[in-house]
Amino acid sequence: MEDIFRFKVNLGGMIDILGNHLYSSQDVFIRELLQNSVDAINKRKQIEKNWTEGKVCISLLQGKDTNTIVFEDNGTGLTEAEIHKFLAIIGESSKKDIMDGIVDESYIGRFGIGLLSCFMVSDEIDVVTRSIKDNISYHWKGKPDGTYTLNKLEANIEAGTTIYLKCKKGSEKYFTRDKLIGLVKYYGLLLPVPIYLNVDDKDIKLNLEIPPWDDMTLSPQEILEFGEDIFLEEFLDYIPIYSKTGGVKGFAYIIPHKVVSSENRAHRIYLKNMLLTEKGQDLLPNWAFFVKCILNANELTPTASRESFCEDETLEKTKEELGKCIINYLSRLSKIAPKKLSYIIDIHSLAIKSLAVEEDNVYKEFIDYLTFPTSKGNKTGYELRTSYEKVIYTYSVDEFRQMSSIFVAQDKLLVNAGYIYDKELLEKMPILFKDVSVELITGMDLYEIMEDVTFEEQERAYMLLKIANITLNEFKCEVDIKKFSPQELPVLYTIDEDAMIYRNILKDKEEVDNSFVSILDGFIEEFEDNSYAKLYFNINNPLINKLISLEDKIALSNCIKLIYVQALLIGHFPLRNNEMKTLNNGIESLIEWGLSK
Amino acid sequence: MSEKLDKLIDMMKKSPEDSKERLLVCEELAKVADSENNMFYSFIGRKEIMRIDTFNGDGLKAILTFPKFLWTGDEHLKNSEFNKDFVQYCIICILERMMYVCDDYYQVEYEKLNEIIKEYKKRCIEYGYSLRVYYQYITRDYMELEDVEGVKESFKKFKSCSRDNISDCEVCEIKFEVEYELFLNNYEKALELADPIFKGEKKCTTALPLTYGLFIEYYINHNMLEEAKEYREKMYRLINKDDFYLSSMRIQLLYFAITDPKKGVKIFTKHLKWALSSNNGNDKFMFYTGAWMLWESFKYKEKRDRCKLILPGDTPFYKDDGIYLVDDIISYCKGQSLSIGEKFDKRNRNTINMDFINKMKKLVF
Repeated sequence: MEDIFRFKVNLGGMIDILGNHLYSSQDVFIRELLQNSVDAINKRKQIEKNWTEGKVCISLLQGKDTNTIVFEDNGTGLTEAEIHKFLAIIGESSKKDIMDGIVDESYIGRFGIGLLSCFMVSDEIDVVTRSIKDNISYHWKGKPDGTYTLNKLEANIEAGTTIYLKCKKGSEKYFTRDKLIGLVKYYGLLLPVPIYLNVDDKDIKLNLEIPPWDDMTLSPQEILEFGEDIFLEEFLDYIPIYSKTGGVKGFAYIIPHKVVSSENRAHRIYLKNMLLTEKGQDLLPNWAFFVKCILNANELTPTASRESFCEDETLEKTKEELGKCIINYLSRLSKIAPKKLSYIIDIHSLAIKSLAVEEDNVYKEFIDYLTFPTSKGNKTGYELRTSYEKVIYTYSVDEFRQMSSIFVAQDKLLVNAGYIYDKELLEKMPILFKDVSVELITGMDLYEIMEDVTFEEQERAYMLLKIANITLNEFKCEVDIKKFSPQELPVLYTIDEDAMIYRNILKDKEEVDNSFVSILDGFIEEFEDNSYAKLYFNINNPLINKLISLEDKIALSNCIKLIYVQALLIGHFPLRNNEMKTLNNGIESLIEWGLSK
Repeated sequence: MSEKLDKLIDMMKKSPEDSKERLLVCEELAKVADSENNMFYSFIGRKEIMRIDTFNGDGLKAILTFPKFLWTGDEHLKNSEFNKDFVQYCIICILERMMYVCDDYYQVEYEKLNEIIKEYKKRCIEYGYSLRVYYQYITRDYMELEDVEGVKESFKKFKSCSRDNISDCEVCEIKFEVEYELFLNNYEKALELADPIFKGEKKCTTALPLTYGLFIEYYINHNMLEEAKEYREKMYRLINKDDFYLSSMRIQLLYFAITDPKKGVKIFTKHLKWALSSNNGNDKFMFYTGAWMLWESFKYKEKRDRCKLILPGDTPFYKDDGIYLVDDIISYCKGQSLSIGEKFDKRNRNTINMDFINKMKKLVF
């Protein structure tokens, strides 16, 4: 016959596992004590239907050598059998019906290991308890070496349980009044049972009992203030949150400043009114980084450490529903308070743009409020899709710089889609809105805007082009003459990628004062062949025609230089040293000429 | 700080990391910061450009940005205590990348390359960082020179330096140790070290395919072609969509040059566009050397003088009808390999690249 052995548990080792690997912090012992007390009170309410006096009283006894936390509830209490069964067997929660595997829905805890967490801060757990089922009181004392004692008490005490935790060395910070208040409020703010801390013989209530989302008497301002008290910051607005699947209720507060999407925000996520975690990424959609939430879930399943949710279908569905709440709120705002929505979108535009790229419904709701930089200033999506038959855009900031002047002069709109998400958003526009079309324009398309001049016009402009090419050679710029609209635009400056790189190399060589700048010398030759930018004179322009007729070569050269620098400034190209010098000299000459008149 | 700069900083933070979009924003950010004399963001914008370009690009933008990056960083350190540790950390990380990237560009002079390596070491000491990465680089240098004693000595120094927050990731260090053991022909030890990488117990984006590459190289050098086959397939699956692995295509092409050049043609046609658009001399040298070997082998084994291929439109010897003379392809690839190899040898003042070509020839023919 085979021998049967039992697994043995090293309680000290178990405590170490709890403290160092399961729980993220020793703080959680307060959560575990609160959880046990609330569950005991709920159990008593189930048994004694008309009983409503459940409460938890906490006090701090300051001794000569050490402090003691006293945690008292007037719940069901424990009988002797229950003490042996539930306090001394790990994993056998009084809240778990082992026989038919039913877990009571009203119980917060499920795993029966919570009381052990107290050994993280105390070397002795004393439990004094009397059950409502009998009149016998007990004193249970447990130690981390796995031993415990159990004595009957002669004194007749009230039904309920009182736990005494004597501070162990190194845990002194938990045995202060302020710390206790902080932890109870942090974990137990929403618990449906009054929790008191006894201070100087006065009982101070620490929790709300009724969550603010269930309190119909609260005004919007009070709801906002509630959020401010929790998160210690002001918010723009709040969004009521509800999910039927996860039994979630709460508020999402809109952050009033730009946020980094990858930053982890500190939320307050409760499970059955007990704080579970500050991390919301499991519960909230990843695009919701512009809100901070305080939520309570009743239908989601926690992990063993009770610090996050199990990833299951319910959680996924809940996440979707919570996302919808936020989208629906923003949609409603677009109808009842569009200015507020614009303001929110302005602050969180990138977050919303990234969402709109991915989700069509979000795109349709918000495109009208998103702004795009254009040659005519910022325009909203609404303006783009309703005021322009065709939306023309570039996908690089440099090309926008080169082309925007011609569009400005022609009073046409060019959208700068060189920044993140803008290109994708514009390309999506004609797919979701039938009446609008979009067109990408590149530098090469500019040549189609310009017409060749006639042979006679080319001859007439000979001296201008000759002097211009000589003058602008030092700036690595070739000159030509074309015909284009509008006639008010005297020149057009264009530069391709290689020429831009070459230009930047020369600029860096001028500005940088370290030995490594000579690394760039090896690359100058690579780009030298394609190093010239192009300046096109517009023969339609009256100024250009005057220059064509100008006989004074020196004056002509100076005018050409200034026109060149002007073209760079209009295109927001940073000036090199020689260009800056040209500008300064040109201005000085003009001043001198003016003064000499 | 202007609203425009503020907006660009915001866009930079919110754009996907290592993306081309972020690089574009950072280019604009650096320009605007320059115009506002904001040294810190001038530095940050450039740091990001370099970081992204060395991960996602061919490194040219990083090299061109480097002098001003370092200058803005030093100017900032000279004039401000703000974020000093962070700025020093960024400088060290970028200098490390520059050691490798500048190695890949023959346009960077020999003296400058050595200056960067010395500068890296100097600043590690000055800023209080470990020299572990420095000795890792030196070890690789000696491996290229096939200097066994140099390799052993510098590897020992590498191991003696402590890990810190600028060290290579743990998995990449394991890959480096595999490389070291294979260099010394300690095959079994290398296999043992590589085991957690192959099993997926240790993960890093590039370590797995590059470790496969190390073993394929070893197998080919030791005529263990059966062993090379499985790793070749696994490696290709991991690298065929990312042009970061342009130089790694060499080993793929070489494998087929030795075993079955017809099968290697697809690798050539699919990835030629990467080589055509890359500025990275070393990557191009590796690709074209592998391609040259492949086509020479193809001509010899298949006895064909022409074939029909779909090649990128910007191929210098592009034909509309898609019919190419094998000799033309060989000529182009050989020309690229030799000309780039010569430039590297001239820069490095040795014959390593020409020797490398000869070694490849010996393996194939």
